[in-house]
This record gives sequence, structure tokens and C-alpha cells, in this order.
Amino acid sequence: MNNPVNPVNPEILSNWDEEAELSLLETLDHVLNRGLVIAGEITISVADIDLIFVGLNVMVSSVETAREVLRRREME
Amino acid sequence: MKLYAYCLASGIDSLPQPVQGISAAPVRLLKVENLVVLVSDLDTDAVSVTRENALTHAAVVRSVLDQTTPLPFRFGTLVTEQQLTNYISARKPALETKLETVRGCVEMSVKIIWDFSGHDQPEPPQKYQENEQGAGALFLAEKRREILGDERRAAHASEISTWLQENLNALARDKMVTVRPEGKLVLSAAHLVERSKIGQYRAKVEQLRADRPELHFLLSGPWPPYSFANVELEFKSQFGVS
Repeated sequence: MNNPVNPVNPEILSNWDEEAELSLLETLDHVLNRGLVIAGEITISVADIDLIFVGLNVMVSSVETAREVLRRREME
Repeated sequence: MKLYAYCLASGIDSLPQPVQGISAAPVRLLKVENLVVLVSDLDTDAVSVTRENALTHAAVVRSVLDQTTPLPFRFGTLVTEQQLTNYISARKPALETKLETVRGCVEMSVKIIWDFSGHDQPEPPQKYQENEQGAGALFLAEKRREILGDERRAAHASEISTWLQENLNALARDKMVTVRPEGKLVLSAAHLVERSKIGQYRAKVEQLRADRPELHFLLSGPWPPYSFANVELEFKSQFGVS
């Protein structure tokens, strides 16, 4: 099968301590983005979001989720 | 004073060791009927999204993973004891079913990064070359190329997803797979894996990594089953209620 996917450029990953960063990103992704939700009872603030918004786009959905939660709370 | 809720579990009567929660508050077990919730007191209206708080949440949930498989609450779950009790009482059958589903399992995560640059997309037909056609034709040719490129990306992302699932589904009790052809992180998969099969799962992923060197695999776990905990989302997806 003709495969149009190019090998991932090693430079993308060369400066990245993969295991350590992956562990942190995965932890944040799991904790912030998944899990049981008691509707209306997620009460977070994103003032320190820069601390966790690192690398890849693993965290994008989590950040968006956080902002969406805050937007909803402001509308209520 | 509110309660910060970390996870829901059954079959444990005590914590294996003292655990500090958010704001260094001691974590305790709150019994609700035949279930327990790991909670700590928190005298605030909101929980800051900081690295420290997120890691603390994860550490508290993980502290009981050797004893049982808990259902983690999402970060920031701040409730009164009455709200927590009402929530569990109202959903007890669903929560017990969910606990039974995850019993003896952990979550394993696989993410796949690709570099689909699109440089090998088909050239536009000769008749659309600039020296022969006007701006409108060029615009349409460019749109056509974009659409073809998007379709090729989607088709290959789908092929990767199918291939991964064919290889890993047999080792998983449940799965959650997200495919995003438009991004570098093309696929995120979470698998609910029995603890006795973790080694097999890791070995299989290593084999897949060798089979497809053009893809970059990120494997992590074992995790508490964050991706398989939410009964509300399942209710919405099954019954179309939001």
C-alpha cells in the first residue's frame, strides 16, 4: 500500500524529554479532561494556565474545556 | 466548607497510607451507602488549574489504585456533602455498573503523531495551469486540491485507526478512540485493560511501533480509568439528551 505519511521529523522530538513531558502531559490531560462529572460542580480557575500549556496539542482540548466551563459559569 | 472529591470506589475501608490533597488538606474516605469517596476539605469557591493541584489530584486517585480500581472525578469537583450524597444516590445503579466494568482493569493510553505534509498530493490537472486559465479557474483548482488533500488525510487517518483497533481491541475490555486527521496528533486511544494483560498490551504496542516506523507512538499507563468513568456522557450518547 502506498503510504503518504512521512516519518516524523526527528528535530520535532529531539529537544523533548519525551518520557518526562509525556508523563506530565498525560497526567494533565487525564485529570483535566476526563473523569466523573457532577454537573455544574467543576469550579476551576485558569489564571495559571501557562504553567501547564506546554508542547504538542495534547492539552488544547483541556484548556478549551477549562475556558468553556468558565464561560458557562459566567452565563449562569 | 466544601468537599473536594477525587474518586469514587468500592471495597476499601481505609487508605493505605495518609495522603495529602489539594491545599495540603488530609484526604479521607466518605462513605455513601456501600460506596466510598476520597475527599478533602477545601475552604474556597474555585480550584486553580496549577501543575501542583493537577498532580495532587492525580496522586490521590493513584494512591488507591493498588487496592482497587476507582472511578476518578474530573479535576475541580467541589461540592457539599449533601450534593455528593444526592449525586451518588441518584446514580447508584449506573455507578455500580461502571465500577463493575472497570474492576480489575487500568487504562492504557496510546497516542499517534504523524507528519502528513501533503507534498505528495496530486498536481492539479494541466488545464488549470496559470498561463492558460484565469483567477477563477485557479481558485477552483486550489480548492479542489485542498479537498482532495483533506480526503486523503481522512482516509489515511481512518486506516491507521482501523489498523490499531484490529491489533489492540482483543486486549481491551473497552476503548475510547479519537481521530483528528487535521492535526499532528492524529489519533488518541484509551484502552481499558485487565491488569494481567498490561505486559501483553505493551508488547503489542512495541510490535506495532516496529511495524509502522513512519508513525510516532506515545504509550503511557497504567492509569486509573479516567476515560471510562463518566456515566453522564454515556447517558447523553445513548439517549441523545444534553
